[in-house]
Amino acid sequence: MEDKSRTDEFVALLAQHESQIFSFLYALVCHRDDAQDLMQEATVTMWRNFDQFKAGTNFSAWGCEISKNCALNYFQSRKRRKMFSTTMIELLAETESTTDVEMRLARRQALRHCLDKLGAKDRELVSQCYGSNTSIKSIAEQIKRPVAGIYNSLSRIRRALYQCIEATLAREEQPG
Amino acid sequence: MSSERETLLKLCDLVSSGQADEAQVADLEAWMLEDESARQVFLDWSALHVDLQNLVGAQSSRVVLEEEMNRSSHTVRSILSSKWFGALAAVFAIALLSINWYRNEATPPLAESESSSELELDGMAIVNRIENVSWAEKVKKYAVGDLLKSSNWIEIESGVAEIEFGQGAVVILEGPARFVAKSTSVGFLDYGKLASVVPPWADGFRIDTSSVEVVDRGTQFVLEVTRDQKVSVGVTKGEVEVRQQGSSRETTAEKAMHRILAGSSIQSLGSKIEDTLFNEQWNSLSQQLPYRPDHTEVEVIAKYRRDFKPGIANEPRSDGNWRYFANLWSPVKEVDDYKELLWDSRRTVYDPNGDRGWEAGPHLRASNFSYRGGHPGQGIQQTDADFDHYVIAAYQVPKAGRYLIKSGWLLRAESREDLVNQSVDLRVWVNKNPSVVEETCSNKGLLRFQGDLGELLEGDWIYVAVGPQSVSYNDRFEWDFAIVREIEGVTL
Repeated sequence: MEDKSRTDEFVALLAQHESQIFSFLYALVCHRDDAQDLMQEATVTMWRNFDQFKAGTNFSAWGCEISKNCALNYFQSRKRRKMFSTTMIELLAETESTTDVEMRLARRQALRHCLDKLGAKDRELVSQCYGSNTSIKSIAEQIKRPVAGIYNSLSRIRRALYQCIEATLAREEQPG
Repeated sequence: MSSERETLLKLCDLVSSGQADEAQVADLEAWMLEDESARQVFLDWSALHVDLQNLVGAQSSRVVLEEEMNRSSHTVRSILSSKWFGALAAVFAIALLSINWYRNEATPPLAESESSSELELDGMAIVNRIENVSWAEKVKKYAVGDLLKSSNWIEIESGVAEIEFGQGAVVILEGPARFVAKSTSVGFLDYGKLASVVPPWADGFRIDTSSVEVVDRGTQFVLEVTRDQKVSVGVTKGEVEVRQQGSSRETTAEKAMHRILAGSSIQSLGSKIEDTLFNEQWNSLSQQLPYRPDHTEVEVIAKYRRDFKPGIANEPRSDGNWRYFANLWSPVKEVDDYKELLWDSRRTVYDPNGDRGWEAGPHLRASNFSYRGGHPGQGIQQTDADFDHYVIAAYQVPKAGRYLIKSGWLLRAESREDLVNQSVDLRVWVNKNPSVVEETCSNKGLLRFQGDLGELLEGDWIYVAVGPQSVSYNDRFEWDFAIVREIEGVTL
């Protein structure tokens, strides 16, 4: 019974913080598949060490610390080249651990709102590129556009979305 | 947004999308080592990627599920939660958009469609200067800045009027005189005296009289026509050709064409052309002409109209250095993302579809380049895109040097009083650099443009683009411009 309760607690916490931890891992490798591999390893490690987690403390900070170590091992064991130095990875983990989970949720909610404001063509491109595992090259061939052009468009769209998120959050912070 | 923050966001985007090179990753790391807020921006940017994957991936799964449910029974649908009704509404909204898109493709609105015949380009010159002018009775009096068409005779009793033609030639008219601009590069002198200076990019500029045509092959000449139609031509710089009226270029025989060099002159009465003494008084009129560089100072590298050539049906232009584009997917300055226009052999224009109807969709519906000019695509107020759709004439520089755009003019070919916001936007720039020219032309207006493009390298691209300024109704334009290269050692 106690084991079940512990399992439920872990599952609940992981569900709440998984996206944030995954985002952190993505920041370290900047590649979706690599981040997913790392997330699997980190999740198993977190579960194995869950008895060391003190209830009521910051789960995402704890999860990021474990994930950071998994990432460093991952780079070492698989001879993967690190994108950032170890110092930088440590600093990113520190910054991520201070990020409020509510803020992450607010950003995601704002993104939902900002996606609705995109033009239909841009929404369609985002859907094609983020909604499947199809490579940009294949999408470029399908829609007869230059690959560089798609990268440029996505970059422009992300900038617009980022600015929209910032503006939305700033408005929400205003009193009254 | 500050340029520093813009740079940070750009670096974050390049790195988090896996497109950065090692130097860019190192730049970002150096920035983040110093600045905690930069680390937060990078983490936020990475989270944006992940959230997009989650949100859009989930939406894609919903659409697949929705399709599956549509194939299933009514019973299955009845258990849908309110969340799924929301998703259904989104699906219907997308479906409606698609239907509208299809409809727009099939039936372009009349206001934007191209008429089958080209409009005639009227005389196009502008009054630059009016000095001590006494106007003839019962004729229109013009002011500086007035646009002159082929019906706008200038008739002065005395004084001096300066007129600049679209192609760049300048005429000083001394009263008494009667003169008209027949086109961007042809004038007609009924009587009176004029001096003309012609820059290299307007080579071929012509003044007609009732008996001869005077064609510029150099830079500066004087023409005098008496009321009894005796014509005198003197060349002060360069050279001109004088032809009897009615002899076309193809049939010109040596005896009908006279080439006159600087310091020489001829006179013509009826069908007879003979040498005559140079009238020293012509020099004083010539001295009132504005400075224009001569053929030894610049070389004309390209001209829009001169170089415009028909292509192969359904193919982009492949010869020479000109290319024609439209920005279908991204804002106009994103030069890597253009759609190249194709030759439409039926309409004799470069357009997005070639001979194949409306494949490119409504945003570029009326877009095209013809010999005379073109039409931009739709504007921001007409589409769901957050940018205007331009047509872009691009020229690749064949050799390094200092380049200028000269004698550019853009004239609105159509005008309707009942439609508002008919301005068009003109931009000129090199590669991905800031614009050298950013101008607006109103629905009835003439826009003249030129600019210093700076030192360019072989292979650089010069872009000259026209956009709809929000709405593209009746945005057809006529234009021309020259791209010139400064000859080394000469300062303009």
